[in-house]
Amino acid sequence: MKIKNILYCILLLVPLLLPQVVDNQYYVQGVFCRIIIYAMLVASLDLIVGYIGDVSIGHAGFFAIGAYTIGILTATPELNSDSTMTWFPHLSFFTALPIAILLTALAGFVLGFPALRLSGPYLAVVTIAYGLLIYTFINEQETFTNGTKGISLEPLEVFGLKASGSNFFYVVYPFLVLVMFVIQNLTKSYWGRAFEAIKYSETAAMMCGVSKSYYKIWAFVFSAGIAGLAGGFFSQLDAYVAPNTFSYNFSVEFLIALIVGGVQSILGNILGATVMVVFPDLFTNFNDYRLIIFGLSLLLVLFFMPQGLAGAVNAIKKRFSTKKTDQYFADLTKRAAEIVLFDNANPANDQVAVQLTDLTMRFGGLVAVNELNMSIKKGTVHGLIGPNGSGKSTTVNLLTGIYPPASGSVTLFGKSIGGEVTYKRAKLGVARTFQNLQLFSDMTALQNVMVGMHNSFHASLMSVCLNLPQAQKEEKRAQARAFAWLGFVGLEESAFVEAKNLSYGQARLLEIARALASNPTLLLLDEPAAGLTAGEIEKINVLIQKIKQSGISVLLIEHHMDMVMAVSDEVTVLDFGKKIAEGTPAQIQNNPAVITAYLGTHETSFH
Amino acid sequence: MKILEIKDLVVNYGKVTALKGISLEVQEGELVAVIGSNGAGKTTTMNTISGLLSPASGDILLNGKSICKIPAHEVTALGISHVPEGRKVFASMSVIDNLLLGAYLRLRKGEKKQVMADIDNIYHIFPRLKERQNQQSGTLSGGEQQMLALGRALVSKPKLLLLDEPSMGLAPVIIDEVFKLINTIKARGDMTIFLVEQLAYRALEVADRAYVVEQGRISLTGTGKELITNPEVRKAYLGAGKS
Repeated sequence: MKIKNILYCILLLVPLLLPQVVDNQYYVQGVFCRIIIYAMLVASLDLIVGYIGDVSIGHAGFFAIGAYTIGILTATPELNSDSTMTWFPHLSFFTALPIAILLTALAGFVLGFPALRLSGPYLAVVTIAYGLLIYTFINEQETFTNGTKGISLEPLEVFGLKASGSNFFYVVYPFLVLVMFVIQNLTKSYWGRAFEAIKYSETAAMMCGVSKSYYKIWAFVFSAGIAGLAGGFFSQLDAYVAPNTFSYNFSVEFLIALIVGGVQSILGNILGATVMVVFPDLFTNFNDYRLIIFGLSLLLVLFFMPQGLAGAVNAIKKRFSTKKTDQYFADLTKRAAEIVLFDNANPANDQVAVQLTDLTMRFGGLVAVNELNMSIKKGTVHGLIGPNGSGKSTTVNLLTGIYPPASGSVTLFGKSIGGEVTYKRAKLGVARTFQNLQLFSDMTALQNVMVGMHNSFHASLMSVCLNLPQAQKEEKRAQARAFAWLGFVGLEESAFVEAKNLSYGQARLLEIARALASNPTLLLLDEPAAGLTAGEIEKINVLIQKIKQSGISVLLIEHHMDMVMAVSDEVTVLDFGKKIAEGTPAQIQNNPAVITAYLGTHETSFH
Repeated sequence: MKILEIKDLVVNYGKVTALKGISLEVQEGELVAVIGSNGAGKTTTMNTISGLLSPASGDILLNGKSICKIPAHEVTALGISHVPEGRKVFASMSVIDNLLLGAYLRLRKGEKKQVMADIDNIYHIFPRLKERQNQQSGTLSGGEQQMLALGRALVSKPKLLLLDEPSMGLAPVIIDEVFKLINTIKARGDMTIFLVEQLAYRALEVADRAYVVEQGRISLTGTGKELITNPEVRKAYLGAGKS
């Protein structure tokens, strides 16, 4: 492992030789430096598109804010003598750069808010408008920006040394390495997993304790900040900034570069930026057909490599990397063996874990849940059954805070949780599984469980971004623990399989493992056996017994009566939002009202 | 007369072989069930019949003619209607629009009157659907959505009805209703039904004949009654505690 790190470091130094080898300022500055700057911008866009799963067509706006902040703060009156500009603070480049980053990050923060409410094409339109707004603002504010005529800048100097021309490479390259290092660390950490979890299922992410607004806004702040940094360097590329560069087209080109290169990949970001800079030049011989050929080649890439260039590279790499995972698997198995999963396990007692009092929920005129009173004791399994549409799922949504109740209260160990938002309830000890599986589909089983452990991560943002020992240790411990949870449900073998490739039965088990990973005191199982066969249901029964013995209270919603009757200590029956019966499984099976409303008279429905 | 015949069907998902050579046949007017665990290949078989998947090898014959190369929307025109697993109603459309879409091909032929009569008939069987005919179908409960998916398939007047897991996520009483309806359709005798079901007991009760699928192959076949009493089937698929 250590040797590999040293090799990487040497590999990172190699590009520094480029300006020595290529003795042509046009290539070094115009091509390589441009690729580096664009790669940073593409990487910033990747945070939004690849990880959070939103589309931004306004990143040229952030880029412009970065470039213009540098432009305005470093310009001199001498170089802009016939301009309309009146304010020349004349700061040095490296003083202005942090200001540029902060200002752009602030702009990202502002854009984060509409992103909380909108998604897909709607958000894309908002980002277009945002980009246009910045573009127009720059154009109009002539006293600061010199309008369409742009700002000329002095050639960059660092510590009195000339840093323009080929030397500019030495300035931007270290920043590329830094940006990629931080993004890599961030996205491989619990932060990155939170971003992705939000992309695949906001509800499931929140049930794992991930605050959607917090992480989404931070993603926009990061993304914008990096775009601002790239923009700052961009202003020095030609020592001139003008508004036309930052048009809507520019945003679209970056989006294309990202998709062609491949999302969620640093390699992809760099390849995408390279294609964007180099490709149009490659076809200059074709004169007027240049852009047509460029467009066609992009279409071909996307048609044959839907995951982008990096996706194709990764697919090849995957074929050769089985050995590494074998070793990792053995290591995890060893470490997971020492983990006690239910560390504060204590048996059932008569303490009331959950109390619902007069809980009511209305949708328009429909009363979905009507003055429901129910209590679940610690370490017991409480069955909740009733016809489809009788209010079972609504009850779960009230318990998890998806809906605020119209009236009534919910308490967990005596503490009212009715007013808490969903992601906070996860912290308070409520976890759930989903009837219509809501796994984070492109993430591995292990990563899914690690999202479930979100609240157990405490490493600071700094520590995560720089991959400091604190973050490393925490990550390693969490992996072992997540692996142990997979072991608990019998999924170790599938630890590195993406959730979307699991069989239906395995996916159901993963849902349970992910929910347990948050160390809940109350586990809501929403039809855990739907679509499973008798043999598979038997396995889940055994799991529920174990969970219950560890002192966790379980609310079980299920239509398989054999299961409900076998594992429940108590059963509540709902019909039209009202409780029609409550009691032991035996009492419920023989209750005439329940038989008419729900159980029916088939011989497989116990009575 | 054989309405459907499947010969040595092999279906792959990428590198994974889901069906490893399945052969079965369905006589006209019969109700044939397929049972088996998750991932055994039940839904894959069904999706291949309706043209959603294409086989690597083998053949599917409808009334003696191969339908393997025919795309899904044309298979429907040949008289096969598929009620997919998980219902898949058009969630943002109203109940009535879902039903009308089910009759799409008939409406194109100008059978509007008959279609409306058939929809009335569906409403008669499922009064809940009539009550909610203008409601968005995504807001229906699971049981109502299953009724709608069945109704949508029935209005196309298929010769062969493919039912994938009609009991999934439904309350026992509703399952009773669904299977009662399946029995009713069967009793009318003008429709052949091919049923895939996780609740093996329920499926075997209504089926004339059934096949057991295990890991992409057919492991057992017999009449519904034979299989219900077969000790292996009882152990693997019927669970303990059933009489």
